[in-house]
Amino acid sequence: MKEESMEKLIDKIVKATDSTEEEISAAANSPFLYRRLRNAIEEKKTKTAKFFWGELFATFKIAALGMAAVALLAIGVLVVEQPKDSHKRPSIQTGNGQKAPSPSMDENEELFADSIGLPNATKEVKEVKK
Amino acid sequence: MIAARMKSIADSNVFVEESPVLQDMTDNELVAAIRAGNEEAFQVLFERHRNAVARLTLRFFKRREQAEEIMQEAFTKAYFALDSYRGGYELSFISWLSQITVRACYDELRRVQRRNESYESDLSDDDTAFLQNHVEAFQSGRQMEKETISRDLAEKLLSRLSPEDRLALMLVNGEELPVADVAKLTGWSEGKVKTRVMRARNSLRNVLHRFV
Repeated sequence: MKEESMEKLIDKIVKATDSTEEEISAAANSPFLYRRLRNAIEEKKTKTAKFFWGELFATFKIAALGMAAVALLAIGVLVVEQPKDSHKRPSIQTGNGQKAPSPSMDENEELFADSIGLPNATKEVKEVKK
Repeated sequence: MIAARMKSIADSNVFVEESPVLQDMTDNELVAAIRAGNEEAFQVLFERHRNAVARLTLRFFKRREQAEEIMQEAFTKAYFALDSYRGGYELSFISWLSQITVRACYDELRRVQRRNESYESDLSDDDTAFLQNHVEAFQSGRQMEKETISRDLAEKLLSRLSPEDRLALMLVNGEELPVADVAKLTGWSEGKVKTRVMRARNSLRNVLHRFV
């Protein structure tokens, strides 16, 4: 078979895909095509909006979880690092060699209150002062 | 002047109520109106270009339902890509829309190939006899120019080509577009377009040689 004839046959095959004006018009003017197109557009818009909010929520969720994890870690580190006897109050050496209990925070406050003339000072504190 | 008119479109909502005004607008003005929120302008663009899109789509898909689906996909993509449309001297709206349509057709051809829908590739006895008759006629020098090849048979033969080869062949030999235009439509180089057309014709030649 001559190559030229073969080329003509191939051209015929390609030309067979030509559409008539009626076929084009039928497809272009198909009823509800524009309605379907609008529906597809609206559907995609909704999906995009949902995706946006979903992504935003997911981002916030990750950030919140991250912050909570960091906070927990910080609390954990503080608990571990705290000295074992840190809750004991420092003692004061008295003249006879005995350790006298250091005044509590409340006592200090009362002393201070008394020194500035507030009526909250207790009797015990006044005796210590004498 | 066009820019000023486009700005006035964007600034007013008059066009929503007066669609005859929309009909008189250029494509670029309609795009500006859509960007400004006038959805009716998109319908005008659709009506203006649906025939061109249908023609291009039917070149690749003979079934009307399938062609309509691709048309819908192409227009939907165009709607959401309107922000990327530059217009002006760079590219006309119809060229831009054709690019999107060609891309949609190409994607569908690839999907069809992935799904391995080869039912159209199988030639019936009638098809084989028709092709043998054609080949013999060419060999003996008989004139067969007046006999046309059916669309079904053409589809069966073309479905044996790769999506790239088929796309290039249809646009260059079917639509009779210059190679440079096809390169712009597909985003390929001119060399690639030429190579694809050559490969497509070689593949078809190989198929037809089986009947010699």
